[in-house]
Amino acid sequence: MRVIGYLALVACVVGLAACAKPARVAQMSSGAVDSARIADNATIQGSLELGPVTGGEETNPLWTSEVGPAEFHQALDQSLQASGLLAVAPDSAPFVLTANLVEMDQPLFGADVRVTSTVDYEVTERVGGAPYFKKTLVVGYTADFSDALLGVERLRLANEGSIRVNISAFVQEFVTFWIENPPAKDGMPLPDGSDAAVSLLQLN
Amino acid sequence: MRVQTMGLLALGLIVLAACGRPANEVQVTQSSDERLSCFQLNSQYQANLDAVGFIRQEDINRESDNLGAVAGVLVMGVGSLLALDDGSANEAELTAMIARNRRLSSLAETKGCDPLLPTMDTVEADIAAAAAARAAERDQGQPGPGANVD
Repeated sequence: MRVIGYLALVACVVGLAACAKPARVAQMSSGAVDSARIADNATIQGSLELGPVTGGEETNPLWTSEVGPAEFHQALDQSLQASGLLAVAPDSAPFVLTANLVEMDQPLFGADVRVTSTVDYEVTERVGGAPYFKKTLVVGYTADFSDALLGVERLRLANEGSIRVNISAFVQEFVTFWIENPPAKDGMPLPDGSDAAVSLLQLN
Repeated sequence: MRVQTMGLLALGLIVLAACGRPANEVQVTQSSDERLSCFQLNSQYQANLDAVGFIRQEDINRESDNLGAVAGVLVMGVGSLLALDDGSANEAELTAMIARNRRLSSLAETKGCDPLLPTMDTVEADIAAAAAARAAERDQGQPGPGANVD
């Protein structure tokens, strides 16, 4: 009985050992994604400006780790740049990307911590604002005991991983859409777009 | 005796845990490297430089978090030490990022692109100077020049 008491004490101490910290930008950035297809399609290179990025939630150190709007914005910006999609001069980009981090579905605790992120992405024409690409991506990522012993740290890693693969999935979906539906030129109508399509991706 | 066993178990857990997070290193050589355009090379190079800055900032945060974890022993007991991070993941990621950018510079030169700037020699010198300044700050208890990451 005393052993169980000690185990419970150790578990409590371990659980309380660290405060929650916000997600890290470098861990949420996807790095260069789909480089070969982007290399083969010169017009997609530098085609995007990153517009308003909304959603997310600041971390309360006494509660759970979250993904803040500023960190999400930086991670998205860095990922687009690494992939070669971001224009050097924002005004020169023919399209503007807006993103809304709708939800981070997190468990309160668990051995395997699975976080599912839901992000709305919308790409519109810079001139005129006509929609070109619109998609909601729902992506899950699991961090387990081998990643971190502390629950708060596992949750942080799962948050970061979920955003990283969500951004990576967006780049791949956008490149695929661009290749299949090249943007219109000189007044030609835009393709129908993937209006409000929702993709549920299960990664890791 | 049981108390000692439990104490040893807790210490064992702490030793196992206090190695930080798994590293998420960039691949230095990638299969599509030879196909990258000058624009892609420069974009990826600049993004990696930003990533280097983020990792360096995280390393500074990690050091203060470790101090907090050690101080937390007084309040929460030895379990607080589970939050210690030895920084090996940050170091591995930084090393890989620098090597990747050296690879991108080499590719840009081979392809006849404009040189990728600032050079990684400059960046590494900056990192070394900042590390020396932080070490001096720790030794003297005073902030040294270049202690802040740009």
